[in-house]
Amino acid sequence: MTFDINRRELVKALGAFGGAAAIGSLAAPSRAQGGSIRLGLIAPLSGSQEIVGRYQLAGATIAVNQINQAGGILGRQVELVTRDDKANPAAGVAASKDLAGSGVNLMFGILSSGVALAVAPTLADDKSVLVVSAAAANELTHEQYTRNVFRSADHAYARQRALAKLVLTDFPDTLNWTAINPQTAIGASNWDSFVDGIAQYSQEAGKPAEITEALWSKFGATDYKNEISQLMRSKSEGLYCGVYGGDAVTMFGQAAAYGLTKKFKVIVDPGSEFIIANAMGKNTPPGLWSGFHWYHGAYEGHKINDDLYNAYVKETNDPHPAGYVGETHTSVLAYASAIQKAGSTETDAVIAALEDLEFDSCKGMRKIRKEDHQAICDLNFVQFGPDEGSDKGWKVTGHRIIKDEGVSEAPTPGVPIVFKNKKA
Amino acid sequence: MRSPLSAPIARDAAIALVIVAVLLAMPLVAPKGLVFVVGTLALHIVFGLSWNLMFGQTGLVSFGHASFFAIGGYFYALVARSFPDLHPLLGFAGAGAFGVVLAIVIGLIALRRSLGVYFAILTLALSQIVYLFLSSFTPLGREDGFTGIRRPVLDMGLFEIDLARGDNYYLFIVLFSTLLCAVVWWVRHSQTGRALRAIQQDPERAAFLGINVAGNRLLAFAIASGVTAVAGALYGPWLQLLTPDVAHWTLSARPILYSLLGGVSSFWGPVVGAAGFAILEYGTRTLHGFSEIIIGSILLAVVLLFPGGILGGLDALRRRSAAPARTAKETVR
Repeated sequence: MTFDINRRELVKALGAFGGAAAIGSLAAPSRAQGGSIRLGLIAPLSGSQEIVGRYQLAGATIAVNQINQAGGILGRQVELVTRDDKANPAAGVAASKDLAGSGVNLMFGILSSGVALAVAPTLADDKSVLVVSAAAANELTHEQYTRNVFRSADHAYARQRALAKLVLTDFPDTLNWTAINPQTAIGASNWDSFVDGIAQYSQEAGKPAEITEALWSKFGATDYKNEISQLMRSKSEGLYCGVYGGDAVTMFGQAAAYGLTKKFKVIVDPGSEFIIANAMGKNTPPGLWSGFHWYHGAYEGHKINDDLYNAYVKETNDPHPAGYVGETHTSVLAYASAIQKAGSTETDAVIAALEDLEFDSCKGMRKIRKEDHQAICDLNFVQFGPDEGSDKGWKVTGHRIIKDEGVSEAPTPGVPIVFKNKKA
Repeated sequence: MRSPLSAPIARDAAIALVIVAVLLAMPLVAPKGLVFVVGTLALHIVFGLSWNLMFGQTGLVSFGHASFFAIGGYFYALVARSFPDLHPLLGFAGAGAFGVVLAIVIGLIALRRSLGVYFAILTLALSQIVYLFLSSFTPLGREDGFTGIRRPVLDMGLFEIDLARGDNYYLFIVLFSTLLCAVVWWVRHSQTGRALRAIQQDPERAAFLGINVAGNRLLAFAIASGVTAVAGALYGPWLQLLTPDVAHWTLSARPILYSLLGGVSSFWGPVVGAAGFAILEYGTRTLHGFSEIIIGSILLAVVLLFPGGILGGLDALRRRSAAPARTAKETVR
């Protein structure tokens, strides 16, 4: 099967989701109506992060449509109510309070950890529940843990340690690692988690790895030439490129001229998904491993995965759904299972049902831990490389599923994660 | 001769009383989302009024007023975390005092040498410095923000008020904001306010009349900054998180928009502007992606059709409708 899509068509198709959601939200009355179950999506639906928010909206819309076509939950139809957080904490709090005030007590979504951390402490007063679909900050299930917040997606610690496990399995002789990271808490947390995994797994293999001090760049920087020059002098063989999203595109764009991508034997990225490959095209670093919330190609044959993928492609004509599509889809499924189990949409009943909930999703079974409300699930990674023969200029050269068997930390709600092998 | 203060006091007090009564009643009648928006609006009204004390009253244009909002917010958050036993009112007052001291230090340098667009650019540079500092200073949470800011317990001697319970903090914000607005009103209508107005209209003539132009400009800058710092301090526990975005130039643009939308020449201009802006934002919150276009178009229309803002436009309409009646009366006479 071949797909031919340009950016305008994709934006148009995803815009249809936005338009439908906006009209749906307008049409929705301010109070709960005739038996429908109302789920509130909080996502960046405008502004600079809308490029991700549109994927979150698509996944949620598909899940709600699928549930309704199958007869709803407890015989009731599901209604999606959307609110825009603009990836801004204040707008996120306003959105969650707006939903709570409109009688929508079950919320999900949220891309930015800053928004999730701002919304979390307000939920108990508002008697609401939030299932986080993307924000990966470890704090949400540790020092900032609250009873009303769950995370159905993977978190920073698990994914970065899984990435460490992957590279030590595939490249057991690449034992000297360095990094370029953004000066953000999530940047530091990702790197600490990766180092934690590298140190543990390499020691277990009897070949202790060596970590060279990381470089720290300004978040949103436009000039990486100094850092690239330093990396070109590095003796390390593995590069952890912690700068993500648009920053990674800028960094790799400037790095191409220096030959940085050829200098390192292995380059890994914590979670930019298709962003780097889409932006770099034929200059995509060969062999780049990128962390994914969900990669559809890894679960072909699994009905939920295939149905979600086909519905997404049918709606958008885009053959490369970002992992965020899968994660909001999963959050809706988590609510569906919990409501079914509780027989109610009341906050306390749903919280009790979500604890220890095991449910099937686009990337297989997940279990939400009762202690810290973190989901234990597969960790997905995709390897990219340049493809001269295709219009887009890149191709997927491999993918991997890492099972969370001892990858996640033990649950310690209220207490920060202890990194055993922290490196500055 | 009637006191110049008596008429505005009676009229403005009556208007303020009605507004405060409506705001205090909000939690009883409005949904939580709207109450949160209105609580934020109360702080933004203070923000707008303090900016307009510099611009509308004194002729100083600041493009970096949000830096003091951020400074006050982070100061209070840090103090509250470092000294949990300190009375919260001292923390809020300390934030205001810190804002005043910082404004005096900056103003002594900036206001002596530069005015107009130069002062505007200097304040913009200041806000960017504050933004970059907050983004990179680890104890303040860097890009991810200062988390876990608690709503305090007010020890009133005979009894305690837990501001974390129910709508207590909202009511506290409304009352504290009213107090801050009253401070701005008092400055505006005092002898100092008249000196500031004289400076705004003609600084050379004001100096000739014996008004200390540099000193009064510095005073206006310090008061506006201190009041804004207290508003920022109140904002931290309201959101329970502060990110460097509160020092960003986009927030500095807010009081300018409020003043232009409502009208810079009236005390109530920024109040009307901030309220109008909040109504537009709340009313278009479900029109994802279109909200900014609608708000921007309406702002553009208001600024083009009513250069004096909403209040200025209403005043012009009132005078225009009064003019033909007066002419007709004069013809009969």
